[in-house]
Amino acid sequence: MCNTITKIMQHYASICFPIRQSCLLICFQAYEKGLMIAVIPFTSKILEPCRSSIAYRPPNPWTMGILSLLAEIYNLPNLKMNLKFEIEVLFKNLDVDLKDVNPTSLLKDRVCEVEGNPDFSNKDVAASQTQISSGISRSTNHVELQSVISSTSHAVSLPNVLNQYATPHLPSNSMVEDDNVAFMMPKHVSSHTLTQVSPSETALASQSPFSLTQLVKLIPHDEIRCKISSKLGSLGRQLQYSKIMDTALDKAIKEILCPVVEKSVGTAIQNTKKLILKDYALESDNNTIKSSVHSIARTIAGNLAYANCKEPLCVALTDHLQSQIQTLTSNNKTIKQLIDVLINDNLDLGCRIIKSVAMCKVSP
Amino acid sequence: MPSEFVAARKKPPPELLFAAGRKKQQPPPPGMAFVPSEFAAAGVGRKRQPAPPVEIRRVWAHNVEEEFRIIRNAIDHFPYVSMDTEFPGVIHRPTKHPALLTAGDRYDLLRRNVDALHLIQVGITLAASPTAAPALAFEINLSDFDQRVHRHAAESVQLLAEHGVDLAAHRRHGVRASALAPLLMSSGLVCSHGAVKWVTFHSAYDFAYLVKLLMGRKLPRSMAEFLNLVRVFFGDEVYDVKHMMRHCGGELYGGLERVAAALQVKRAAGRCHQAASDSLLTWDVFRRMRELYFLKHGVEAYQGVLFGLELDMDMPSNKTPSLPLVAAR
Repeated sequence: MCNTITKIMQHYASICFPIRQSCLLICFQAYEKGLMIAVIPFTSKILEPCRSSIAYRPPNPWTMGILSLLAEIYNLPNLKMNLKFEIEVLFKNLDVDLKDVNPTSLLKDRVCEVEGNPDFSNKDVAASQTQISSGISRSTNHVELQSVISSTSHAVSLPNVLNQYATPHLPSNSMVEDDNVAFMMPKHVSSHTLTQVSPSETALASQSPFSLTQLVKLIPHDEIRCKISSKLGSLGRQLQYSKIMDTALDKAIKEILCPVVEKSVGTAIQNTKKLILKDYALESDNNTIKSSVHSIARTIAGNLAYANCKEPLCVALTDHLQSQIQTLTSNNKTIKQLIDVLINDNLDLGCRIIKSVAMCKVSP
Repeated sequence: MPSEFVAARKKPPPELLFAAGRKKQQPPPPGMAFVPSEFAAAGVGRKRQPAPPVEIRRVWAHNVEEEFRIIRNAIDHFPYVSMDTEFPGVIHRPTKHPALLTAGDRYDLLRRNVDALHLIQVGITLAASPTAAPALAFEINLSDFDQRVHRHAAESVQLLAEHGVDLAAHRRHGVRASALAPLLMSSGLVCSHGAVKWVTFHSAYDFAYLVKLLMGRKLPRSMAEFLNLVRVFFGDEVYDVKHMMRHCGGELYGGLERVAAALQVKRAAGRCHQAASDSLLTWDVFRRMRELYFLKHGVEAYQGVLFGLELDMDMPSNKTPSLPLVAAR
């Protein structure tokens, strides 16, 4: 056996067949040396004709083997957008769904150079994007606040119209009018503000009821009990994951709490006013009106917040969990599975927390 | 590793009429001692002299990459490939008398059987030219078939076991079919644009299993499409010795063992019903047959036809002494 192998090696050592096995090897080397920016387009060009080839078209195992590696590359964190796009286009051209392909795990044991690697987005760019995102969020806050105030101003004029049709038998006309006015003015908006057509920005900022500091106080910390699945490993592991989950959930909630609660409460107040004016126009018991306002507004705000926060919370949780779990293991597939399990088990908890904050915020 | 020699060989069970997965039985000659082979570079073997024995390389999961590297390096110099496979018989049988089956009927049976069953072993032999002695032989042992779980023809599986195929070793150490397929695709054996010539014996089922493997899906519905796939993967120069026998003046008939005995060709290595050993014997039978019957006109006229799947108009009427078999083994 040894002699035969030796002869084979000596006789054929110089022969090279670059195309037959080269695609996989090239991808490995490219990953390690930061050359995927050149190799992935090259590989895409080679594989694109497979679609019209009788022999090589998917699900040919040779073709699918390379697509599986590309799927693994596609799922690498911080991969440059143009590389992701190149892989997506290839899959589309071959009529293969990325979700249907099981990614390989061939790159987990390989180390790639990070410094100046053109294949990945670096942290500075990511940080810059975060700032831009914050700016956008701040602008939205102002727009939302102005909408709330405008709606309130508009609502104030309605009682006067209603009074024109009041029946003579009402015992105290002025008393009813005073109560209505009091009802229409939220506590945080002074009468002085109402007299101005355009309230100043400074006044709004100083009186903003949606600051993060105030909202965080409303978080029911005692209710937070993250759920860690037993399939994630030993008890020690579960405790570790529990700590990670607590931290990630806290950060994610703080990240999205302001915009979600602000929007939900604002919308809830507007709709509550419309409902009360329509359904309780003839109600003479002020206590009934007040309790109804409170109940309706809380319910609408809570449900709106619950519905609106699910997706952004999931995204925020994924980001925070990813950054923390990566310190434990470098297996991208394992990280993804961990994150999926943790989020599936705890996303509802996060949503419920935000819902309770929104409901508390509606208190008069 | 299964023992190559047994002191007392059990008599194989009597052959059933049209039984699947079985060639006609003759006791194989005593095995020759194993000696590492020298490469025979296009040497013309002497007439009727046994060729130097070839060592059969056993391919399992742990060495499949290395062995395919050897194949890749060798294929350009040894472009003649003899091939045989072992599989667990057939489970779908014809409802009509075999003589009444059309080629389309036979293909439909083949398709249903191959789609339902799992390949057990693949044997290939490499040679430098049509007259050269075999240079390399590979026995690729696959792990997918589990007789406790998968459908099979019990008598065929028992026959394989009695001839040294260790099914338990296959399950534990064999190559997965899904791992073998990409290696075949990149080996130079298939899609070689005519560079590789294939020699087989009654190989419709053998090619069907390989096509299923290479496509990664079930076989096509129509026979025409299947034959086109055989041409795409294996090229135009595919020779089925069983088909060529019909043009030898009626002197040759029956299974591989019988034809080999008639031509006085001895089994070079291994045992019958093992894929690599049968591929070796197929190659030697092909060489001898070519030398005795086809020197004047060559063999090109007989390429591209698989026994049992001939187009009906090619079927000679009442010239075949034996009825066509449904499956090779």
